[in-house]
Amino acid sequence: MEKSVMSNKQFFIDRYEKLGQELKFIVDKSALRVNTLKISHEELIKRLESLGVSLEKIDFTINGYYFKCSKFSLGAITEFLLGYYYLQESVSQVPVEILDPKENETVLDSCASPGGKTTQIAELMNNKGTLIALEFKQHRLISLKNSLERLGVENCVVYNLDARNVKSLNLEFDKILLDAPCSGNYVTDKNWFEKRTIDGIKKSSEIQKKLLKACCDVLKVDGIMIYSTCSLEPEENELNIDWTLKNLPLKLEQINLPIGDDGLINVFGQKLNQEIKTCKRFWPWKTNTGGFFIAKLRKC
Amino acid sequence: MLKEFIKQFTEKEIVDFNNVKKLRTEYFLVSKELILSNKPFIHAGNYLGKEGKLFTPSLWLLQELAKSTDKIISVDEKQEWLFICGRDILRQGKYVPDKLMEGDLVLVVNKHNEYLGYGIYSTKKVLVKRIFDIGDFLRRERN
Repeated sequence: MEKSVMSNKQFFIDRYEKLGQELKFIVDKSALRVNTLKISHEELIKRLESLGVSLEKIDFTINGYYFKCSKFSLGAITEFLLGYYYLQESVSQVPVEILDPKENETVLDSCASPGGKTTQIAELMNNKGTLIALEFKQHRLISLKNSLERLGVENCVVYNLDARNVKSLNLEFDKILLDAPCSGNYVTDKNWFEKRTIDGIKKSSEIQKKLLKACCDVLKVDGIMIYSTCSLEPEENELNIDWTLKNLPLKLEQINLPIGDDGLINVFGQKLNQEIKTCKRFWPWKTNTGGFFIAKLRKC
Repeated sequence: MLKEFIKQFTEKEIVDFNNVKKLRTEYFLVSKELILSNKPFIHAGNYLGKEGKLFTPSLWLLQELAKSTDKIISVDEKQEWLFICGRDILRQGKYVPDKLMEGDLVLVVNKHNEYLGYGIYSTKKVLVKRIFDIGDFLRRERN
């Protein structure tokens, strides 16, 4: 098929329809995550409410709140600059909570910048153990370093390294977060339909497979890897996990979450491994969040 | 430059220099428990600050200095906002300093005793000439 046919809004609407879904537009609610390394929930709520910000607990996260503020930007006040919170989309707070990193572990954040999930990992580790963060693109290192400093992270080491070459670190990990670079989704990118093509999505999928293999190679036996994307495209999600189960020594584990659909096991007529139902898929019109996908894998 | 900067606020040893690593112009406090690879890192452990024309301290270093020094100026909400937008602090009314002299480096804190940055104390119209403030986080990414 010509490239121009395999893109644009109608093309993707038709794809989602084939997956049993009807695309609807939603407005993603602004959200933040309390940084408990520096402040308690109660204290931050008191501080922000005194400034006229209204907060609503996100019930599927530990430290997340939706907020409404019309007078000023929450990304420019003292409380933000002191690292009391991180502006982080609600659904993107979920992967690290599923990863559940502990104080005495060695953890890898394979695609770290700008540092939202990196700082979240450090927080749940209580700044103990070792957190290795990789960022491939030089110009994205500033945001990552800023986030680490601002949020008071003390247990992180950053390398300017493509995660496909993570083996060169000669380290092994108890847990790995692979929040893979992906094609994104229409909720977080208003021009998504104009920019994306199926060829681009397939290219992205090939890179993600390489990342899965590379991360698996440095994961300890019995270690946990969380694979996540903010894409709705099965090529970057369920099809990649199906490939993973066939080619890598990893098995899926159940994700206990009160939100999100099961992973798809029938994609455009192709039947996939039944275990993929344990993955979580976030259709924006059902969850009122951005699009997202999470798989929890354990090394055998 | 890090040692000299700290000495301008306090003689106390607030940093264990046996664990300080310098990478080009940046300083890091790296605990022995942190596992490092043999490859060169970009950032490790606790970031302390950066050498330049003047020293730019990290938030952590400012916090530690605030615990160990009395060279502190407290500002109100309006002054706080102006300071983190990169402005100097102007003298308001009669301010009688305690233990501060012209040209001293001072930390600036808000009503919650939170460190906002530092500058040079003056007895003239400008109370504190700003050198560094936490609004720098936003400016770094803009540049």
